[in-house]
Amino acid sequence: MSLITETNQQYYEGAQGFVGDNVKESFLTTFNTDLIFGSFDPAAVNYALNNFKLYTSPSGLPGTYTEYITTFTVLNNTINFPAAPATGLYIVVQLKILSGGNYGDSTAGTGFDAIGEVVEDNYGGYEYIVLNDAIDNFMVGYVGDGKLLQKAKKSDVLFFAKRSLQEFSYDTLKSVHSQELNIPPSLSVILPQDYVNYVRVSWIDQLGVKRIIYPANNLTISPYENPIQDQAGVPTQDNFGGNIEGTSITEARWKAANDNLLNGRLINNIDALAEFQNALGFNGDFNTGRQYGLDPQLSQVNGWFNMNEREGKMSFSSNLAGKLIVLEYISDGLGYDADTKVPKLAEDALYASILYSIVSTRSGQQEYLVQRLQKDRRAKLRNAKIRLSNIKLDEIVQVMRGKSKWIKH
Amino acid sequence: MAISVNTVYQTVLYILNKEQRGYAPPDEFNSIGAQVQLEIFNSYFPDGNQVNRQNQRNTQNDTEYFNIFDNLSYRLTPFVQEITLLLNNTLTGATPIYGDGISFSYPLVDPTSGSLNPEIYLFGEVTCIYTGSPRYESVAQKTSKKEYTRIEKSNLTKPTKSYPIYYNYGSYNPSGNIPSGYSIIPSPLPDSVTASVIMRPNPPIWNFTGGSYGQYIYSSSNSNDFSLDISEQTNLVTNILKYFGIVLNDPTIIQVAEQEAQQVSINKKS
Repeated sequence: MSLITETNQQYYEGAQGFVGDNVKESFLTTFNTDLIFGSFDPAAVNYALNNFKLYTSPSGLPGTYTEYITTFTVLNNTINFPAAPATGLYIVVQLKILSGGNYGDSTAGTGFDAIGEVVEDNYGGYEYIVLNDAIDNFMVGYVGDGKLLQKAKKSDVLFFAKRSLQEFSYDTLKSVHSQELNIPPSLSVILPQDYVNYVRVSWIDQLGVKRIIYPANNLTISPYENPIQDQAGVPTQDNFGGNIEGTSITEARWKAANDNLLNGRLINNIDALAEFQNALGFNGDFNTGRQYGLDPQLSQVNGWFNMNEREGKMSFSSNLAGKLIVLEYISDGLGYDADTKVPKLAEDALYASILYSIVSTRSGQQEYLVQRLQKDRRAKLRNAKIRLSNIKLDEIVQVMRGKSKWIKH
Repeated sequence: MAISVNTVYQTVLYILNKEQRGYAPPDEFNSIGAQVQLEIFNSYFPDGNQVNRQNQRNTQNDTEYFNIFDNLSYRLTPFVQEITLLLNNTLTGATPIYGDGISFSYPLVDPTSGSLNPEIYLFGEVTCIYTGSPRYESVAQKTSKKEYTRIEKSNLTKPTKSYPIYYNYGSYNPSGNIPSGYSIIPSPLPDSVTASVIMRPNPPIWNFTGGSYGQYIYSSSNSNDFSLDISEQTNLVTNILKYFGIVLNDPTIIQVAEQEAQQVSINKKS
């Protein structure tokens, strides 16, 4: 069986059509996406839950489709009408799409278009395999009589599959999570709900170009606790015996800091003065040695961020106030159901990882077998990482051309 | 295909008569027949476990008719059925069970018809069905109560509609301490549950009417054939003879029948 089950129309348009015959009351949709049904009635609150709209037309001609808002139900991706639609009635199920779909155009602007991102969520889905499918495949291919795993509980396979996906997410899989945020006056943004670690933080300039913001590792810190001390320096407690927490003075000072004093950037008016002096040929000692002793790691004007573990936030240096930033981060791949998918380029590595994990945690396994599976896992994981690194020879060549190093290919 | 109870009875009678060893009345035959049928049926499970080791070692042959494990599985086919379990709070009629709303039962008595349900011998794969859109039809993992709790507590293995789990227990009729069926507690709670089970074989009955000379005449109505596969006929006859040897207190019959049965068993497993 081929792996692609959707028609071109289902994939690209997010639409599937049927024709009534006055007999059939149920119509089965075969999208990759399951239909979500709240209500047929636009006046009902649950109507907003629907991830599709239903249109009908007597002729099937463009511009003649209107939304069907009379009674119908959806069960197991099947649209059920209370009575069989008339013969020749064209019925279209349109998943919500950014463009609103072609079928609601006749009433465009009146709120009948199927606007949403359901179809877009499915685009590019062939790149991935769903974790559930990977587990089922593993049970078929690796578990059973005459195989390495005579028997394996599905809950064990599920556990190791999820653990493997977590580990893969940290260092092998592509980081696909990112958020576009504005830095508020408080200079802190809340970490995303599925945040595990950051990959890169950048601010976006007027051209849309991203400028890397660096961590303020050695410059400042957000203390985890700020106990209020008495005269003797002993933390004071509240009525319940817990330390009384104050606000952080370190953070307050950092927020008020002039970054130019840290990054070695010449202050604008002095720059102007220096240029003026240089232009006039003053060769005095004004500028001599002014850049001496710069620490390269601090000599950047993009700004800094640091993690505020106490508040679960990311804090930024004061020069970034009001700036637009993009936070790229990694999750563990298990935050949401939609996340539990594995790139096909890493599918084999996932199987190898599950197999190794199960065998290595069982008692009485021969050590040579465990070693073999460990090597196998490592090799496949390395392969997956190389594949997912997206190293393309043409791109490397292009970069090296800029460096005046020509690579023949 | 089932084995005709009349054929077996007549064969047993012929052999006993030929050897001048006495007579087997129908009631004795029915009781001994049921016992032997159950013995043969019970032997499938340890035998299956034994011959499956060839599958595990990859030494099993791949022929169409001589794969002993497949042949053994085939003999169980008449007893395999798919049943629907009922949510306990939906049960009505004479035998309400439990009514906890979280367990599913296969009651001893069908609540709709009031007739006795066939007796389950072994429970196989349990499928939980979650209706709605999307619909899930997932094979549930059997656990012990202890595992059930552990699996529930781990966020990574917590059961979902795709990976449900269950444990089983014998339910009791609340009005008395009478076992009222086989129950399971699945998680998450499905809309319906089906299970693949092996039913206990029906006991054979050789029914008769009285002849003009007082003799027994076979009556097919109300008779039950042996539920075993036809390939078990020889085994069945020799084992019944063995018991009749004991009843008739004749060690030679026992010896001959035992040798015969042993030979059949050795041939099967080697």
